[in-house]
Amino acid sequence: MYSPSGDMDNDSHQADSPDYRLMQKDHAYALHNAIDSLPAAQRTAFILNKYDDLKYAEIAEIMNTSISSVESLLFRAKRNLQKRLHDYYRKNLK
Amino acid sequence: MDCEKVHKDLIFYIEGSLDEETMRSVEDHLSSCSSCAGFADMLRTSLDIIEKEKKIPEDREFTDKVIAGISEERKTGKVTPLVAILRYVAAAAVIIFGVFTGMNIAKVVSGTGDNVTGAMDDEVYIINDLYQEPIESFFLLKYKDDE
Repeated sequence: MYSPSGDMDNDSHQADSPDYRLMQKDHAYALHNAIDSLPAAQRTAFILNKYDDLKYAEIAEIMNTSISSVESLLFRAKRNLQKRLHDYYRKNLK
Repeated sequence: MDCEKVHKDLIFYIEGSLDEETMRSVEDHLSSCSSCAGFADMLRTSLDIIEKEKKIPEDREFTDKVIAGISEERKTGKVTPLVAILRYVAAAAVIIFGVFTGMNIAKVVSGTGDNVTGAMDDEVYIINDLYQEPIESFFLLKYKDDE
């Protein structure tokens, strides 16, 4: 069965290999590009939530908007991010 | 559940924010679809990068230790009165030294010092070779002597 937590033991064995590092670089590149290409409001909400671990209420205060707007922004940000990453993987990592 | 539907919800599945039934449906699909499972792996790796890139979290334990250490030092009074007095004396010595050094530098720059002017002239004489005997005069004198 597929597990969302992943195979950590296998990951730790591979962590030092050049292939693994290159793959991590590729993923980081794809991720940063995908985040950069998000619309400004979605990008701000996503970064505040994921990188700064801010709660919806805190993000709403910073962005001067409502909590439901933040929820909506984050939902769309994640969908868009996923789509952009999927497109990237399909083009480059196959 | 088809691939398209799974792709839409994959990021939420990885975050674990889907309802239980949808989570199970996605899980079932991933166990039978290698393409979607591959994408799920890649997406998870990318999202893990965010966790790695996060700033170093504040170490509460370390902060508490430092604050406790400072409080303890204050309580035990490790800084004795003699050390406190010496600190003031050292600070005063540094200030006096700085003032005198500044005054001497000012004298040198303005050229008003008694001994300073002579020292400067000597230095100019040594550096400026016009004060020395030109090589032409040296040879002329030598020529006259030979005659």
